[in-house]
Amino acid sequence: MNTTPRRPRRWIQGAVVATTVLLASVACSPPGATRQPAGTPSAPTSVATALPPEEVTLNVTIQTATFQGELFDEFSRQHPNVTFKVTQEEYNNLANSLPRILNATTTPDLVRAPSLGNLVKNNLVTNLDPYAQAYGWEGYPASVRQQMSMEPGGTRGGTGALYQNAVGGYGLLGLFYNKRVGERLGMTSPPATLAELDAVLAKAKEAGVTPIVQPAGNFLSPFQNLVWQYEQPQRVNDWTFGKPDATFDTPAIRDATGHFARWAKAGYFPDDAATLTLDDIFSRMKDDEALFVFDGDFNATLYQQQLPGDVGFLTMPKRSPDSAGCSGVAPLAFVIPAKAQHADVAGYFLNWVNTDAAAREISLAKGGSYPGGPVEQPLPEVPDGSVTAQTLPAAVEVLKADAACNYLSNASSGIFTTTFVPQLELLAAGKTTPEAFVQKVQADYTQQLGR
Amino acid sequence: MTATLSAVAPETVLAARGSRRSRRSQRLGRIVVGWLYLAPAVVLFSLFVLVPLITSVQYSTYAWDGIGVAEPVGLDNYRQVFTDPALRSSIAHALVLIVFFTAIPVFLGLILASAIRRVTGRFGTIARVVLFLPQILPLAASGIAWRWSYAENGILNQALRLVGLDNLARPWLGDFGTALPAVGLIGTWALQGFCLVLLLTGIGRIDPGLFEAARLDGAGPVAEFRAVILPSLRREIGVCVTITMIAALQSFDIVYVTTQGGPGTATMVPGVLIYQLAFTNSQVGLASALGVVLLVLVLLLVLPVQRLSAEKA
Repeated sequence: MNTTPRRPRRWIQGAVVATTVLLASVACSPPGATRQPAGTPSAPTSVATALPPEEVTLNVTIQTATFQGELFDEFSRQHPNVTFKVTQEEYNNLANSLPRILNATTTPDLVRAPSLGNLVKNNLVTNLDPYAQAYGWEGYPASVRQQMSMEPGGTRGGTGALYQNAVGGYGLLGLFYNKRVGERLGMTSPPATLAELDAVLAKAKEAGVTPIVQPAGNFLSPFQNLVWQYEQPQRVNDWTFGKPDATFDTPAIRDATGHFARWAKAGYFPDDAATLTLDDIFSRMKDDEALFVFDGDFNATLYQQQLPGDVGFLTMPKRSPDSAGCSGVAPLAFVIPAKAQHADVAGYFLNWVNTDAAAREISLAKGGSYPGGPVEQPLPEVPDGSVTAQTLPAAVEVLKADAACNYLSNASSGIFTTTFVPQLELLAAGKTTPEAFVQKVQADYTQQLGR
Repeated sequence: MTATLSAVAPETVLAARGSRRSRRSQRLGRIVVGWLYLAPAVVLFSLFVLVPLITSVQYSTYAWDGIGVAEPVGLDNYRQVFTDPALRSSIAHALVLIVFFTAIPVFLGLILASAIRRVTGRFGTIARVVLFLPQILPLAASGIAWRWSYAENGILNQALRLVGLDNLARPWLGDFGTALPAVGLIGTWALQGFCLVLLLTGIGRIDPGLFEAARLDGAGPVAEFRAVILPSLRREIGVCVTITMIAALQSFDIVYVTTQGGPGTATMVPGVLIYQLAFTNSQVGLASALGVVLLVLVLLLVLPVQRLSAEKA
């Protein structure tokens, strides 16, 4: 006698499985936090501005292949009771895992955080206002300070509290150029206006030299430098800071986009921009095959090594001598996680690195950027004829004039990888128009900020 | 002990005992023991497959950044998957990759398998090993090597210039027209060895008598292939198609290591887009919805293949 029950048809089994999965998923409680933390993340009520006497180990997470390790060594030399345990993360991994690093049960005491994103809204970072008051950070350049402050809703550039501070300086964006090639083309001094720059680029193209040896992954650099000369800096900053009424779709920004598209159409970028590596750029500059590249002063020493004595630097020329216009400056920003165990020691370090003479010397020599802190401080020495001798005065000038603009990639956590990189490649290949490009950027921005 | 005894005790003895309860408890005992054997696998499967699947479906109905409060949005994420051109085109690219990951390796595999099945000895073994090697290498490492080969002054362009085909040389992974096929060919290279070995094994199972009969009937190699080899390899072809189609639809490492979805969005595939949406953009709900749609797509394509390739009983 066969007592095995008859097996139900296949599709019934499949339907049962699918329904179970659906019901199980609906029945579970929602993921994530149960309620939004109200108001501003709580600031520490009191801050110790002296180092504790006992041994302290500070946990820090930085990105790979950077110089901050030397700053930690110098600090330990001056304050032997403080040691550092350093974790290095590749930049993209760090940016992607930041929320999870800060939300873990144990967090580092100091973490490299280029972008605040939702960190303030989710109560993951310490409010640094008490440290700013205790150490007197109000004297820091305003146009950089406002990049590091955020209001509870996520907007910057207003009256929000301070959440980041720089370890290693403020990176300035500009153009590096091969002086030898420039002289060959009759460029005796760097172009002073945008029109002069266009003229030199055209001459370079005619002479068979790559005018701008820019990798497609960093097309944003030339693009945003153009945006900053076309549109009023405050309006661009408002957009980057997430102000409610700011839009990317303005006539001035469309014009800037058109200018970039014209450069691409004229063939000023290399044909293989999409697959260009840093080594390719260096070898083409060194072999006198390229004239300009858009980069930041944090890479100044690399260009110095390739073309000792023959590399020049300039900030983006304005459209006319009295146009508004700004240059991109961004702090090498770090945050103190909300759950940091040694927040006060981390705060002391942040103050030290921006004000101590030895620290500022290291930041400038090894990092290449303006070493942070108020502009009135004495500047470290720079070797004559080095690229830093050109980048440092340019940075100081921008900071003194309060003409620093935040990199556009800071507008949202995904705007660079998901929007700017692919859309600028499409624009450069002529596969999208300036109007469509600008509208797409604004649409993605609205969607990514959850509006 | 009881289970073993009851397995060998004749049904008649049990019937003679006449106790329905004893029969039921023995069957229950067998069922419990069966589940105990399955338990470790079931636990692992639940933890690493079922639970993530259920939570993905759950997350797809929220707008969530991975840390803060999740806002229920119903089917909005799915609506976006089907209307956003970037998300739609990523699925289209994955379908194109099926041509390179599945169609070509199976086709090449069949031809190569029929050709080298007669080759035995050292040369045959070496040929099989060399052709299978790409399958063993981690795809991320192969991707990096291929990226160098495809570069402007990489080995492919150098070879073209050497034979005078300068105008064909280009940055293969940076050109909008050639990027996706170039990535696809990496997959072809990696997967054809797998298909080849599978099909060779299948051919080895074929009764030599069939080959003799075909030869006696005057069949040449082509007719032999069509009449003897192809029908017998139905199941192997089915396995090959299933596995390579899944690889094509969920490809991540090849694209991430070579192009990251560029130039523009020419090589963006759901695998990379899900990663970007979830971790770079902190849009976990949308990423989960794309993942669920990908799962359904895989099932829709793979189940018919399974049915068609099942051997008739």
